Amino acid sequence: MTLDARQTQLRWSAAEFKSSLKQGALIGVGVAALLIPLWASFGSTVHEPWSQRTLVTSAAEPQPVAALLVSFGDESASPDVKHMANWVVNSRDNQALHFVILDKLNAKVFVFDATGALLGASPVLIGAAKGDDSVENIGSKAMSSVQAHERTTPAGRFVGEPGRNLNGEDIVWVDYDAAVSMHRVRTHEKTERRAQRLASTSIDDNRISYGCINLPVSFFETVLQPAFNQRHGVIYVLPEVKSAREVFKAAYSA
Amino acid sequence: MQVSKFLITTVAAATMAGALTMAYAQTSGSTGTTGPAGSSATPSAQGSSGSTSSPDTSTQAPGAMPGSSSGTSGTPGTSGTTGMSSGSSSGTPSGSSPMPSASGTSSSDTTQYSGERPAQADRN
Repeated sequence: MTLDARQTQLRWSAAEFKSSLKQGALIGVGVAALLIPLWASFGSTVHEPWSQRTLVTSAAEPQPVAALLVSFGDESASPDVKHMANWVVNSRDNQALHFVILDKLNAKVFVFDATGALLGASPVLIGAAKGDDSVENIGSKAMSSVQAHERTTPAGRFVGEPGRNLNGEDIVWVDYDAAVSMHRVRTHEKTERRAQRLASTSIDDNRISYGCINLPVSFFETVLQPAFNQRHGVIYVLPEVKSAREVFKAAYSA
Repeated sequence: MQVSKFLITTVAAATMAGALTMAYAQTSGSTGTTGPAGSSATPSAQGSSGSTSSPDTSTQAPGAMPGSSSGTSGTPGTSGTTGMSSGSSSGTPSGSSPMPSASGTSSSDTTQYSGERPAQADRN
């Protein structure tokens, strides 16, 4: 091969290389155009499971109040309970903790996990006296000196916590200073018929305690107690004399 | 010659496609295929502060408010179940008046759990 012929072949090869490179780039752009939409659609499908949860909308960005709706399933709940639950979840007032809503008017408690999923609901026994506040220093009063009208279950927002009473019983404190707790129903005083009151279909007889909230044993041990296992939880006790709007101003201000 | 041309074209195409796809992934922020759906959405729904200390600031504590109402009837409901299903009822229970109080919000202003408080008698 002569020198000229060799140079001609090299130039030809360089031209062919550029041509092939250009052609490859074009094909690559075409392939990328196909891949990118697939990539994007794959990214969105992984979000589907979350959207199917009980909370209705994606929570990827800040949500306005009431944007998320807590599902109660087949559980009946008053409008105030539903409003509070939705507000708690949307406002994040529960600080990523489990939370409880006590509906005194209906003598019923609802326990939610930190995301607002309902863990369970149950009838309860509450303070014998109607009212939304605790008497001053009620926590330090002997039971025998508590007047009938003082046997209230206070309303409001409480940071509950696990603890023990003087009998060594494991309970959940609602308001430690006022000595209000949630605990297993106590049946030692036969005349009070607490178990029967709890089991009855009426709520008229669900007022018997000195302020504490009595729960069915199984509910306490399988639903409430695990929610407060070595941690705090937020407890919202809805009022019965005052309006919910009056007690939970922030929840009704929107 | 044909083989080398084919190889050059293929390598160039793969490189270009890979580069463009990665560039898209980085700029769009949608790297997220991994577990993300749940893990990223959950905290933002519930407060991703991760902090465990926070005061009770969101709601109002009830102030002193003596009441003096009593008695009304309730409506029968159902009761006695546990877990995810239980009965419900409606109505207004009867009772007597509460006394002034400043409670309603726990004295515990933190969600940082630091162990049990001293045992004390509860209100049964």
